[in-house]
Amino acid sequence: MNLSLFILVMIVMISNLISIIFFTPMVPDQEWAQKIFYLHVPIAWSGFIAYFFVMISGIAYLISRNLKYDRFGHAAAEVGTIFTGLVLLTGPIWATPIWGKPWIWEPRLITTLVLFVIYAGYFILRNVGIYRQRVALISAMIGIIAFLDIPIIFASVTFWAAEIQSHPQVEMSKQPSGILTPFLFSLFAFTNLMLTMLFLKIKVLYLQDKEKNYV
Amino acid sequence: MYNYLEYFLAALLTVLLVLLVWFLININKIKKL
Repeated sequence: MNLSLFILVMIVMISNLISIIFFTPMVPDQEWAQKIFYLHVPIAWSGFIAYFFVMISGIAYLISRNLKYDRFGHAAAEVGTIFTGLVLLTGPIWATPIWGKPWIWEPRLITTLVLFVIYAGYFILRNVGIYRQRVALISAMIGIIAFLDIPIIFASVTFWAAEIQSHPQVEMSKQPSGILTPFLFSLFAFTNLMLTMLFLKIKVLYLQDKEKNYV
Repeated sequence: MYNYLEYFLAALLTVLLVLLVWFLININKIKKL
């Protein structure tokens, strides 16, 4: 991985953290807890973008049977799962003071947990020890099918009855600019971080494949 | 005045710690390979 890219992403991330801590407005009632929003939501979005890459590379692998698309998908799946895991950790930390309990069985939480569990299965499958091309084929198919859950997560806040929802149904474009601008910057920073992690992981997987003579 | 600062710090440290561990593991792998 390119060192200058890594340093650039670190500078963007540090500016993002400074922006979140010092330059975002305090929301009444929630105070600092609301600032978890600038971590939680951009991490979720970047994770979904990574899973989108898994689906794209899955399709590319099924068409071409080239292992480079499998490595791309595998790397994106790992980064996506790290990010989804962070969403499932920061969510309960935010929910504890605001909802009064860390976890509520409501649509968006359940669908996100389902996504995480599907990918836990994906990684178990990758490690059961069947031969390389077979793993790549099955992983590509799981990556394509698993992506179907992401539109469900997006729609979950409006699709199921409002009475069982805990997530606010506020559109991002309707947020005041004091919140929207640092949010968009945070989204940019975490997307860049996700892409950097993706490139780093692709390199690790490439070197591993090379060592085992698959390349 | 209760301002929930500890919850924000807990979330921030969780994110930073997980990412740091991930980077250390993978940079270490690159060095070994």
